[in-house]
Amino acid sequence: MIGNMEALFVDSVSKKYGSIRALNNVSFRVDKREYLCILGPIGAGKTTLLKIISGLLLPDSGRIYIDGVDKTFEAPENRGISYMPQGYALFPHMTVWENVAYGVEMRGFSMDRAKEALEIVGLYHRRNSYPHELSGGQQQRIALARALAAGTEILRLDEPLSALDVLIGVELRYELKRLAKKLGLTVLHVTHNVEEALSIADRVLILKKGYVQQIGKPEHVYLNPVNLFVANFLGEVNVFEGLLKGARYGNSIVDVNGLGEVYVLSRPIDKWHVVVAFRPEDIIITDGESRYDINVFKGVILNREFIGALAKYQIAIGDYTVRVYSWNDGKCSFDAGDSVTVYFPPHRGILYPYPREGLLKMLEVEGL
Amino acid sequence: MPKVKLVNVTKRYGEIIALDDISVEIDDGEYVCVVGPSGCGKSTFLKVIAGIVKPEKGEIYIDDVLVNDLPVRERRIGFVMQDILLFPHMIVWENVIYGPLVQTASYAKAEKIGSSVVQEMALTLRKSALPQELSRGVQQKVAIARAVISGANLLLLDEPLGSIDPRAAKMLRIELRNLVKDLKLTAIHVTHNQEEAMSIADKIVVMRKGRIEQYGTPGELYYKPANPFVARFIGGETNFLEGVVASSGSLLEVDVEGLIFKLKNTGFRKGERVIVAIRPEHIKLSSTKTAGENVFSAKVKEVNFLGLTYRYLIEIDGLEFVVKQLRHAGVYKRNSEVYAVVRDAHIFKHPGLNIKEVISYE
Repeated sequence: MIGNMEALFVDSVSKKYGSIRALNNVSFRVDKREYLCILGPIGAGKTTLLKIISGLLLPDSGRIYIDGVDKTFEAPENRGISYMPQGYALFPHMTVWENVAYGVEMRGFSMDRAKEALEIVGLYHRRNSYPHELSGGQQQRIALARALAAGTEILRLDEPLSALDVLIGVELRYELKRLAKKLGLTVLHVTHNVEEALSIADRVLILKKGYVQQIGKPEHVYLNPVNLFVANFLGEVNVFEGLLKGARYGNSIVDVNGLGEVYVLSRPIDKWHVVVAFRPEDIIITDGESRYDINVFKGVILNREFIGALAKYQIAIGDYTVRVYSWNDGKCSFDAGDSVTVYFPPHRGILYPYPREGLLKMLEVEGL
Repeated sequence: MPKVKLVNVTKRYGEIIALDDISVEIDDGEYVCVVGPSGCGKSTFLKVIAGIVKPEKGEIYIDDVLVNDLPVRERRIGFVMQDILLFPHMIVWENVIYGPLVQTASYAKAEKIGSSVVQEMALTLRKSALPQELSRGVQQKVAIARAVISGANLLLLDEPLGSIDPRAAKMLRIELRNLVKDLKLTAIHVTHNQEEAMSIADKIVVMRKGRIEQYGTPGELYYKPANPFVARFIGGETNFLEGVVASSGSLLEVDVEGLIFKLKNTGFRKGERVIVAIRPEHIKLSSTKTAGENVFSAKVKEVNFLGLTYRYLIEIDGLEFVVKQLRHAGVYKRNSEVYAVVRDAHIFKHPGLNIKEVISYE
């Protein structure tokens, strides 16, 4: 039974465009006041999914419940979903007040709503200003006020920060989250920016080719990705193909060609042909001897990127180029050409069966 | 011998001043990135070197030759833009040898010049593909090959990775730098992405409102920002505080609304107004009190997971700070009481303006 805590229930939705399956049996639920980020590469079906939820498109099968009521065939304006477009799309020749009042008037609502919405975002005193007189953050708040004045609890955000200067976008996303929480909104936020999604979502939904790959809390999906696609999409991974040899001390032992035995703490899997994945920040570099006797390899630094707090290394280990990230704390720093010892902590590794479509296909980044 | 030199260059577009009396020297073989917020003049910077835009004032030298009046085609530059401009009806090979073919009017010569560069760039694959059959990343490599084969020894790159998927761009940027170094070119690369600049540049030009705020190596910009704007732009989410020097001894004591920070004394006097910039990664959280200076008790107000790192918003005596730590440094829950150690900070003389204006992108 659908409780009153639920804002949205997408129930087994499928959609085809000709022979292309844009969405395949997509199901998920969103709680009231939840901030959900929908992540996926281009062509994953994010836009189709949003259109179906908003009523701009009909699904071939499946149902959309909003606040417990079947709204699959309801007109977009009767669904209680408002929209804040990319780059805010404020009317530049209209004042703040006119921008917010415009939608209110169109819908035949009382002008009190416009006032109330501006008060909520704390900018009623700037009602006579023009958008260009406001900072990026204030413009975002006006756009939000305009969406709020339309009087809905579900807010749909389609790449709301991607048109902004990168650093301003970073600063504004936290404000967006704070406001959504303060106003008690349910938010569906579509983005291709992984860090943005992880940083502000209560839960993240990852789509690929019309299939839901995983839905869960940011930390959970990042640390426990269900497959290699999700692992690689949410953050970089080093992958090693190998054969499962056995188990010792609770670790699976994988024989990696050209590297030797790699231990991974994992549940046993029933496939011999496997892939071991380690995130760059999970690998440890030292210049001396390692105090561990497993998963220790000798390598040479190929390249070092200095990115402020972070050092990003490419390290040649045998025929592999392994990426390792570490904090620039002044203690240990390496340059190209340095010989190093690299340790892969077994408990930070992830083990997957070798993907049926092949490793390269699974890790393809082009077209993301 | 400096390869590119700008002396007191000024360029206006009507009311707007795109380049405001800038002077800079770029050495032979250097990879220089130009960064700054939208509208800071970074694209104009590139265009005056290319000769696409003429400055009103100032001199531009390439290899010690004054080029102000030299037409674009005689400057031996390759200009690569965000929008990849390949001839769509020509295959990759025809695209890359187009330059020498036009210049030498000889297929044999053009192919010879083309082959040598293409080999060096490991672009031997798929020479007979049409541009649209290639990924955007590879298309951009072809565009660069074409520029190099045309005889350019100075590459001007305007957001070359801007239209490429961010993941692919992270790999391509390293290739791009290696290519420039292998072919012994000089590159000037404009980008809005400061991480990209930090990653590949020998030196970075930070621009704002048509002026150069700082020109230095990535390390210099990060460890010794010339002013609060650079401290904010290189790094991001830096904490800025206004304070007064309470005492100036071996350590500088800065009073920020009653909170005392003890910092390295870089020559400030007692009573002087200063701006203190603290990078998020220079605050360390711990659950137990540690010895040493600048240890404050704090409360965690917000926790954001960024994958590689955690970002915290903490409160110390009513003041908010952003903190960033690697995921493996431990996790602190919202509302938990912690200790915050400020390990490093930059101090600037207060310019008298509102702090928001000092660091503003506009």
